[in-house]
Amino acid sequence: MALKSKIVAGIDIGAATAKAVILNESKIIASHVIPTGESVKKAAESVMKQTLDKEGLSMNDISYKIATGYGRRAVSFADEVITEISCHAKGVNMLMPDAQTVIDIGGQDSKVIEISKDGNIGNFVMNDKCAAGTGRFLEVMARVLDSNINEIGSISLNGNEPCQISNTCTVFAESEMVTLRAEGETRENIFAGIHSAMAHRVVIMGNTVGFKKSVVFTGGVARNIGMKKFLQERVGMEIFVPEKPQIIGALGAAIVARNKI
Amino acid sequence: MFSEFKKVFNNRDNVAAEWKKSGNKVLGYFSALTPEEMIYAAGILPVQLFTTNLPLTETKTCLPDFICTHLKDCLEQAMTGKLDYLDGSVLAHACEASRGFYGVWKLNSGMPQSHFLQVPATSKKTSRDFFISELKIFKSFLEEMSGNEITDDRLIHSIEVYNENRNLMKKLYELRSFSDSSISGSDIIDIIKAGLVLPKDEHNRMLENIISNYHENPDIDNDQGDVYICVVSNAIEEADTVIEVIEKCGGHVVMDNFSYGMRYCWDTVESGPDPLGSLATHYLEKIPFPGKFPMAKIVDSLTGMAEESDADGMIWLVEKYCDPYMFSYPAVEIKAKEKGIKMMSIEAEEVGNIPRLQIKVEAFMESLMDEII
Repeated sequence: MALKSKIVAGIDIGAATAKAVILNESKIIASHVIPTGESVKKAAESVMKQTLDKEGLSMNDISYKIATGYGRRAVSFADEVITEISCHAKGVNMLMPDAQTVIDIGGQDSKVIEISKDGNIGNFVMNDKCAAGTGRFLEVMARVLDSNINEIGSISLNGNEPCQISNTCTVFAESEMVTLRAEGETRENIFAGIHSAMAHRVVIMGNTVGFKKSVVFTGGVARNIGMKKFLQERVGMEIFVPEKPQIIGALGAAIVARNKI
Repeated sequence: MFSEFKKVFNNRDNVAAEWKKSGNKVLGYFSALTPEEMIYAAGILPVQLFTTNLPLTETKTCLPDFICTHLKDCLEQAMTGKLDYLDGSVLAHACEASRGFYGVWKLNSGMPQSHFLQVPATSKKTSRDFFISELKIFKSFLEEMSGNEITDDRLIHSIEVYNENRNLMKKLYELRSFSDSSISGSDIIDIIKAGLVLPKDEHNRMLENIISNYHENPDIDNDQGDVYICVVSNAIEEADTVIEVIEKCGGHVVMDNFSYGMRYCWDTVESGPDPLGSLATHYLEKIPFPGKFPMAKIVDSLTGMAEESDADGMIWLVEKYCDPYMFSYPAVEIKAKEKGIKMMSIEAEEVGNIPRLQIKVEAFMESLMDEII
C-alpha cells in the first residue's frame, strides 16, 4: 500500500460523462467514467465514490482533489478547480511528453489546444455557439439513422464515397440525412460524410492554433475510430489516441493535484 | 460609493428629460470619434447611444446581417420609439458599415435631424485640413439645431470642461492601479457609462466627490497572485460582464482600452486660440482608434498601453462584424507577441453564455501564469 499522503484525485464533470482518476505519484491506480445524468453534484459524488471503491479507499485517503470540466464548480469536495483546457494539456503532457497539440472533442464542445514546453496551455481555441463539431452532433446523427453511437465510427470506415454534407448546423444536417436516405444513399457513405464534415469543421477551427507534431486526440469522441481517420486525413499527420481518451481531463486534474502536495 | 453612477446610467432617459425641461436639445451620437465638445458648446446635451440587446424585429427588413449589433440595436431602438427623446443624431465615420448605415438610419430612424460627420482615416496635413472643413459643416448643423452660435470662447470653455473630465478620469485610473484600491474594473465601467449620458460638468462634480472621498481598503490586495489583464474593446456594454468574470477568476484589470476608457482620457485636447484646429488634431492624432491609419501607429499605441501597465495578457472584446477591430487584430496580436503579451479575442455575442465565457477567460489566465500548476 502506497503512502496515503501521495494519493490525489482529479474529477472531470463533463456535459455527457463524469470521470475520476486517482493517482499515486505518477501511477494511475484507479479511474472510472459514468454518465453525468441530470445532477452534476450527484454525478461528482458518485463517480468519486465508485473510483475510490475500486481500490478500497475512502475520501480521507486523498490528500488533494481538483475538479475540472463544465461542472467543476459543483464538486463540493474539491480543494480547487481548474479548467479542462489546462487539464487536457497536463494529462497529454504526462502520457506523451513530446505532444504539442491536443484535439479534445467532448459531448458539448470541441477544443484544439497547443501545449507549451512546460505542459501548460500555449494557445487554445474552442468551438462556439452550436453543437456542430461535438459528440452531441454525432449522437443526433446516429439517432436519425437508427444506429448505435458506438458503431457509427466503424460504419463510416466502410463508406467508399463519403456524401457531401453541406450543413454543419445540427438541425439542418438532420434533415439532410433524411433526404440522403430517401435518395438511397448507404448508411456507410452517409456516416463517412458526417465524420468528414465534422473533422473538416474541427480542423478549420484548429488552424487558428495550428497542428504541430505530435497530435493527440482526447475526449469521448476520440473512441470513435472513424473520427480519428477523418481527422488524420484533414490534418495530414498521424493522430494518437490514448488508451482511455475520456479520462485525460481528470488525469490532468490529478497531476495538478499531485503537484500541489 | 459608485452606485450613483450606475443609477444615473440606468435612468439616462430622465437625465435627458431633465435637460430638455429648460428648452435645450439632446443629440445622440454613435462613436468615440464624435467631438462632443462642439455639441456641448452649442448648449446641446450629447448622449452616447448604447447597445441594449433588444430583440431585432423592425431592423430585420432594413439591414443586412453583416452590420454590427451596436448599429442594428440603435436602429431598433429608434424604430420602436425608444429614442423619441432625441432631437437629432450624429454618426461619425468610424467604419465602412457606418457609411452605408447612415442612409438606412436617415430613412428609417425617424430622427428630426441627422448629420454624418466625415472623419478621415489618416492624420496627414491634407486630412486635417479636410477634417477642419467637415467640423465647420458640423458646427453649422449644431448652430442651426440649437439656435446658439458656437463662438470660439464657448468652444474653448467646452474643451476645458472635457479636459477636466479626462484629467479626473485619469486620476481615477491612477487610484484604481493601487494594489489596495477599492475601485473595481466594473466600477470604472459604471463611471464611464454615466459620463456618456450626463452633462460633463455634472459628471466632473461627481468624479471630484468620489476622488476626494476615496480611501484605500487595506483588506484588498490586488497584487496577490493576480494576473494582470488589459481589456481592449469597442463593446463597453459587454465589457462589464467580461471584467467581472476576469476579477472573479482572480485577474486584475490594470488597463482598459475601450472607446471611452483610458483611450478617451489618455490625452487632453490642446488649449489655444484655434479650438477647432485643436479638436481636429486631437480626434485625428491622439485617439488610437482601430481602423485608422497608419495601422502601425495604432498597433504601437494599443500594445504600448498594455506594456506600460505590465499586463500579462490582452483580451480583445469585439462586436461581431466590426471590421476595424477585426482587421486590426492580427497586427496587434503579432506586435503583442513580440512584447511578450498574449492575446485572446472574445466576440461580444459570446458574453451572454457565462459558463463558456468563464472557461475561456479562466483558461486564458491559466495560460498566463508562470507556475499555475
